[in-house]
Amino acid sequence: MLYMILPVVAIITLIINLVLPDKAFSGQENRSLAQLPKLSFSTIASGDFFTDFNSWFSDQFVGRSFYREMDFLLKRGEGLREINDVFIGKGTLLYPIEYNPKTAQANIDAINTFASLSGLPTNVVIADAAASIESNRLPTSAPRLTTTEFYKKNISSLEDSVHYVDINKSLKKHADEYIFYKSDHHWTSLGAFYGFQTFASDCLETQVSKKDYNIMQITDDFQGTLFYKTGDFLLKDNIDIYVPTDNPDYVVTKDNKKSRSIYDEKKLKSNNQYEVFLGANQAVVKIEMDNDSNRRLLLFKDSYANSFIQFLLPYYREITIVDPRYYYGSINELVQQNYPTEVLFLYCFDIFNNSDSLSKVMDRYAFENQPANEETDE
Amino acid sequence: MTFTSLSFLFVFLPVTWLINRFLPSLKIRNIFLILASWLFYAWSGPSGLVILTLMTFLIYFSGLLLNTEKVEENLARRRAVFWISVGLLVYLLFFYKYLKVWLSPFINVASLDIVAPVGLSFYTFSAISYLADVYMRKSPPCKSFLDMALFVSFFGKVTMGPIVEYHSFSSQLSNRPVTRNQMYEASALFIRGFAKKALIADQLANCFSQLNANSTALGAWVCMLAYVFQLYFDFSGYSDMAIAVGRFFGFELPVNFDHPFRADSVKDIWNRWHISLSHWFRDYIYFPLGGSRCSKLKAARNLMIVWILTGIWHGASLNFLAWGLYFGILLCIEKFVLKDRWNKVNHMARVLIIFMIFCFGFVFFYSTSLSNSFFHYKALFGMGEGGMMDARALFVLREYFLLLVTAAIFSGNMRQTLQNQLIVRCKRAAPLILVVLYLLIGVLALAMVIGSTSQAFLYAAF
Repeated sequence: MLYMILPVVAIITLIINLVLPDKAFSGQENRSLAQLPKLSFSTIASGDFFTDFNSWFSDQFVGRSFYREMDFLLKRGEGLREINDVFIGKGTLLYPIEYNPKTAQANIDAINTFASLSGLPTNVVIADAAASIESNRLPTSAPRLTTTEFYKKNISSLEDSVHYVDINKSLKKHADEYIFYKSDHHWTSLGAFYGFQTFASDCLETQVSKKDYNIMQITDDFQGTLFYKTGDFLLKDNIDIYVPTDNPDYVVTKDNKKSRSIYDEKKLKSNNQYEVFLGANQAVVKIEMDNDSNRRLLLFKDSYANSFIQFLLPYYREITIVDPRYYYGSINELVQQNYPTEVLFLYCFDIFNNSDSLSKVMDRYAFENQPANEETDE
Repeated sequence: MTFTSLSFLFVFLPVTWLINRFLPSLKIRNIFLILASWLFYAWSGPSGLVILTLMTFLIYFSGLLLNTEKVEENLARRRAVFWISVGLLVYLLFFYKYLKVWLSPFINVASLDIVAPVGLSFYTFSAISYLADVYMRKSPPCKSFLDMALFVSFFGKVTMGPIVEYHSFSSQLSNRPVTRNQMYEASALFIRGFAKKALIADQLANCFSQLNANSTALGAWVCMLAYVFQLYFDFSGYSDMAIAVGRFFGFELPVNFDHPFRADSVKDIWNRWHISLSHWFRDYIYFPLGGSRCSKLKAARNLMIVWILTGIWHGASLNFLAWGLYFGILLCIEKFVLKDRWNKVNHMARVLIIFMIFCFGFVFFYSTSLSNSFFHYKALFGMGEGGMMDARALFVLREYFLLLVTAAIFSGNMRQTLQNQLIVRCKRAAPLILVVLYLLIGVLALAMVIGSTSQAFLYAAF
């Protein structure tokens, strides 16, 4: 019987694969799927046709999503607790801790450079890694790397004029709460709230509590970056927004387009619902508030700050947000055009240790601001 | 195209089988199979097809030449034709596989763009076996170029063996019936091979790659065991699929593995592991050199030559040579020093010791160089930089413990035992239950292939 079933099943599967229309994109894998390759003498002679055919057939295979989910269950069942470097923790996925002293120090030096050259009051917030805050949720026996060295060595080399705001004590205190997404490497709005609570107390001389916000759940089926890395389809997240009860009217300018909200609702239907906060990553975003504040903030950030911004709105007249990973312009110009009264560097441990964009941008800033006589030195 | 790729499983194989099934004559089937095999081979790199067909032409014409009157009657001419042809084959193998590595200490080889075609080592040896069989008069030369092409290129064995000796294959070119029972057994074997590769080997590959650079003793031991089981399930799984594919088309390819971890002597390992390669070296190098039918010194020399060449066949770098020397020396010790005394040791103890000897030998195999081998050996004995264990080694062991135990159990006779128990206990329902189980295992293996990029078959580098 088996010898008849096998070829029949194989041929029926082939026919179904050929008959079903090709998909362009995989929501489950968050990538474009290979399409039918061109058949020509040159593609055959180079071998590209065969490679592309394999990719096409594999990407368009009927039931691919189902098989990928089965693959995950099998891996989980046989004991795997780490897939593509992401830990499958207790009820959550955890991005590994990657401490890069060189990159971290380059970014710290960049902050010091900016602070001393600009002369602006500068605050720094660097949220600790989820795997450090929620270390008790790592899988049993998982190697427990720590971020202590970073906070002891690199952070302590910040200039005295730079004010470091330690939000991590508060995050650690609330580690058992839902402060990090289960399927994404970002903190939740609750985590951002606790971070903001410390920042507000330290830098805005304000005590805030949850009562100061209208908290609304805007989705319950968010699957983020760690889902795509591991294929763990069992975990889904909620996203909440925290709208201050005394929220001012504001205008957001992004890419020369203006809008009235920092929340991009269209992203709730996309494959990266976290982008509901401020949309896709941008080089520069400007938010102008209609309030009486005389404070103007220049914010250097990674994507962690996106869900932090909702808390900042009542306290500033303007917030100019720069993501150095995408900004290739002049910081001098930004400062001159927006005349900020203070600066905030808001990062997470992961990006701060793995991206040197900040240090590259500040190298340009330092070059633009070097004293005139240095240019003529031989 | 590999046997576990979706293009092979759901396009190439079923379509080829279906067409072959309904072709009217064996001759037409042979032609069809050659074209299918060339397409299969070109799928992995069209430029390699040129080498494959060149080699086919070379041995075809050399074989015929060996049989012509002028050459046949003159021993010197016969020898010349044979050795020049073999020399050309060996040169092709040397050029693509060894030249760059062996020249690298002397010249800058970065600009040399030489990439060995897939399966070169395997089908070159098959080609040499044909010439040798004709030369030693074990087989008459092949008169049909089509038959020659099918022998060299048959897709069931062209990229990764088993290495088929011509004299055992030639009759199948003109006669190979397929029975229902053969097809049933082949289908079951195909799924077993597929499962071995996708469910066990490919997963253990992750374990190995995580611990390959680990310098702790625990890490080194788990790495070594993971590699040995990975290699076994990968290669024997592939071989099972190859034999099954051969049977789908009526060919009987040689068995390549026979429960190697039950070996109780070093010699026994090589009667059970990559059997087709051992037999090739035995038939075409060891026996022609005199085998063991000569003085002890010469017999030892013959063994060492075979094992040096076996090591080199696997790879161009020194660690493969060391691997060959390791097993060659052990075989000499077993044959000439220990002799019958080894058989007096308790059987279980022998099996365990031989398994350890096997594992230790394969450290050379998975090391990237001789110095990397020493790194691993130091770690195995607790003298590596990492000491006895670290968190990473412990974590990986914990993750893969179940899989390692499963691999150890199923490298023996467990599958057959369970199957027999099922037949005894379930009687009439057993065939249906077996079909369902096989299909389920096939689906799980398919899920793992789709879920992750399959690990390239380890012997594909040879």
